[in-house]
Amino acid sequence: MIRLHNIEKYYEAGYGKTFVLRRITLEIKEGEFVTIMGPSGAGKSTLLSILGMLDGAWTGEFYFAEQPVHKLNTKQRVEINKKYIGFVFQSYHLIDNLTVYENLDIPLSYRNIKSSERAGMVCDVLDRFHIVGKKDLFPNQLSGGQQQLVAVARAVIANPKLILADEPTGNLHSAQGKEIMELFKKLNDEGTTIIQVTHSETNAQYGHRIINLADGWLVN
Amino acid sequence: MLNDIRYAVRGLRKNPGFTAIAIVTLALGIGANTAIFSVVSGVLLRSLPFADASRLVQLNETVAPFGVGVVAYPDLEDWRRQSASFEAMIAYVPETRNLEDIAEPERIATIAAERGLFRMLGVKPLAGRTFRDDDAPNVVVASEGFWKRHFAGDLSLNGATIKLENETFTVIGVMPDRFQFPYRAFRTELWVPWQAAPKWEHNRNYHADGVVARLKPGISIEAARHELAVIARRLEAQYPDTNRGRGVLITPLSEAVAGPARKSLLVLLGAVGLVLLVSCANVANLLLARATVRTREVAIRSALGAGRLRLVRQFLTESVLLALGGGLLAMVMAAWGADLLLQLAAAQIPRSWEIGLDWRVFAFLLGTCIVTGIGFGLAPAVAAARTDPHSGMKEASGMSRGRGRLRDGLVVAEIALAFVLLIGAGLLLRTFVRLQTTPTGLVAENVLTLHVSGHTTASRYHELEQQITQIPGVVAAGFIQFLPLQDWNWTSHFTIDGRPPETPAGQPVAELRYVTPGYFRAMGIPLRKGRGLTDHDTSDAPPVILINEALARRFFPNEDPIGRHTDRGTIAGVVGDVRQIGLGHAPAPEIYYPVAQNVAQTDSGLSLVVSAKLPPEKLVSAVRAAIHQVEPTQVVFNIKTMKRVIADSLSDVYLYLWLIGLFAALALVLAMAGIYGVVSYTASQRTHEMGIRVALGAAAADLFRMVLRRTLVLAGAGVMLGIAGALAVTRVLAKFLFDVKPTDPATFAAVAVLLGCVAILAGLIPARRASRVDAMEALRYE
Repeated sequence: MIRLHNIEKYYEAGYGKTFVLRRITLEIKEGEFVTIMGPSGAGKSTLLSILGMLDGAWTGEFYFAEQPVHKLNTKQRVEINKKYIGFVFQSYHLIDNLTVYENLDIPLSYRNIKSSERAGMVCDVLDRFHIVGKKDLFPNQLSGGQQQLVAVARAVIANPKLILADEPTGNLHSAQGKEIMELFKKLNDEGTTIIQVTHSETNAQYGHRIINLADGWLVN
Repeated sequence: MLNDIRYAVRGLRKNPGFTAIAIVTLALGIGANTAIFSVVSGVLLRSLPFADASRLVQLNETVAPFGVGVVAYPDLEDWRRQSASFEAMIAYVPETRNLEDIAEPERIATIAAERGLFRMLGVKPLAGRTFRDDDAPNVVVASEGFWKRHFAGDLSLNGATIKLENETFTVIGVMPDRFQFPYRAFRTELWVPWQAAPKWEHNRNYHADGVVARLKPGISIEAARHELAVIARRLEAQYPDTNRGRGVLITPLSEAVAGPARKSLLVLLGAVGLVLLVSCANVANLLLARATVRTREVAIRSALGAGRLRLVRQFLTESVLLALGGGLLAMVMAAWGADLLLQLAAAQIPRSWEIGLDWRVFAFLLGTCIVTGIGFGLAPAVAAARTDPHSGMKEASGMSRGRGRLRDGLVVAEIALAFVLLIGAGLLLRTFVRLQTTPTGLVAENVLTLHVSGHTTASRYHELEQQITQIPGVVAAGFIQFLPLQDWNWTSHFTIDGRPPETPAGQPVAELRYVTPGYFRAMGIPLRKGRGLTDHDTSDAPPVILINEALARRFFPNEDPIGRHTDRGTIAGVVGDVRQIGLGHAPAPEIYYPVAQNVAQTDSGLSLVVSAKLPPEKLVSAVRAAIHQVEPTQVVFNIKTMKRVIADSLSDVYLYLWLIGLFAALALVLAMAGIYGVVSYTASQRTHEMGIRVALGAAAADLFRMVLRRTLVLAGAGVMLGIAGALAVTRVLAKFLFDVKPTDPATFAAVAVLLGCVAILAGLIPARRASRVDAMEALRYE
């Protein structure tokens, strides 16, 4: 599903370059559950942003579902994001002034889906994640675990082939974290490819393999 | 309080950009208001500069079907004899006279007034004296301006004399510049003693006298009105042939002077008040944004014990200081603006020479500063004071939902106010265009007009006409008593032979004009039927008249008027209609007399109309030379092209269009800045949200549309509110409109589209910025 070859990311700094990622070459197959680990500043979140098409300023070759991302323009990359990818963040990143229902509707609203169809999809997800009773609440009326549950629900609502999760349990206590990880496991079992960034060894165990990063390099 | 002021000054100095923008925005609003208020104060609020001016009134006669007019002298004499309510009644007649025995004879605006005028007004001369009852007719009181111009301002009069139309007058006094009577568009320069000419002394049909009177102390206008009404009824019974249906109108002199301009000035004051509201809304929005940035400061102050009232006071101190800063700049702008306005519109504004920045204007300015300072500062102050110290200290920035709604509300209000002003400007613009394209009935291209002082014979007018026609390039030339489009009419009854006599109220009425034969060709007025006037229509020939189509339609709908006899002469021809009074007035029935048969009617001079093949300005010296060749003493003045005459007739509408348009443009720019400020600020507050949206699949165009949609929602709400406001207030403009309804849908639609475009323009930059948000940065931001 994903092939990276010599991906590099750097910032111009004074007379030189500060590298965030160096010669990253890796492959992730469809249906895998991959964990990216490494110390702070290793480039984990940057790599996730590149995989999620949020960052376009890098060099190297990147194939996503056999499409050469490095040759695509921004608009085409946004289309790949919309078609294949769902995001889950450590800070949930729900939109404060929208209800749970409206937050779930956002990804669909960017995918040219009719509003009647969207309503059905949102209701399905509310039901599937057992959050129907919370649909009219605002994010600040939910606990952290509930917010992350909504965030995961939002990530899967458009049926993505790939879920990118950046420290999804970082702000949750262990019981809530376990619940979310079980959810990822279930999604993966159902066929969704999952790439998570985490510091937690326990969470890493949910994945099939671990990719370690240090100072921007892939390490064994 | 001193501490509050010190902190406020320091805070404002630390943010020079914010302070400058707020002060300039306020100065625009307050300055424009002060400029207009200085005019309103000078015209409407300041009492007339006469002793005990509240007892001065203007007397008019009402005569059916003509309405309000000047007074017939015998009626005035009867009022004087029979009334007990007045200390004095003074008749006067506005005139113009030739000043002679100087290098270039001048036409001077004069007033012939009964000798008690100055005494009754209670005014003192700058030098010499005013009239005494035993003064001979050949004395004159001069204005200070005239005296300075012709006698270098030497206040020792020493029996100085001037020559007016072949008569020598001794200057007995000089009136200071601040004195002016009567009030009219131009200033009177000389006052001469007057008494009714014997031929009019007993003619109750000849209404020619302006009358100003002073009520006795303690007599109310109502009492005087009642008394004069009783007298008028008595005169009606006594002289039924002339005085049937005749009444008396008493108007306080101040109202007679300022009344015609009152509505226009109040409309302008209202319009400029809207600009001030827009300014205030803009600055309130700036303060709200600033209050958001200062959330942490307010939280710390609260935590240290500052109560809400104390915080509100501190914020209000800052806003009032801003308003006072704006007021200082506004004072300069007001002085400049009022000067400019008076230069542009001296003729349209009564008492223009009395207008200036006085204590009333300064009090208004100060009051406006304080009221606006509190007005625009209160909401941000209260919003800031409501900050929760706990959350406030945690969040360095971030706008609460309530504050956001308030800012949105302010922008919506700004758009609505700008909409109302734009509708006003739009309606006036449509009126102006309609008036400009209204057929005048004449051809103004390459036509020169000028006024000659008259007092000559019919044969000389004929000779002048011939002489001018000989000038190379001249197509035709002719004289008329009053040029069209002068906002002036002279109507009278006439009777048609063979028609049954009617009551005075039902008698035919027509506008009267005296012309020479060449006039119609010079003005391009077509002959529709019969013949035009010829050189043979002299005093020895049977009296003839021409009528216009409107008269023919009105009084001869199914018959040929040619050859019909009237008490004014036999109808020789029918000419095309001309809009005589103004472009906004439909042509009225009209009678043209030949000057040659009525030369006595040309005492006040005639207007010459010359049509040419070349630009009329090039003919001025040749025409002037031709006139002086025939009549060396003729004074030539009011030289204008006919196009200028038409343009001048629109000067009222043009002035209001210009002013309301200026205010609307100002409000539009301020509203645009307001939209930009709010949308830009809100978009920057939503950077994080934008990042999330990008991560969830939003393309740049989605974010662009999202921000722009918000702009349009604000604009839409503003327009809806503006439509309601405009429907409520634009009817006050009805007086200024021509052929356009105050609710003209086309204007409303055009303004809505314009505001929509402006809103899109204002939202483009924030929308573009939002569409370029770096999702990684935005998400990391939190």
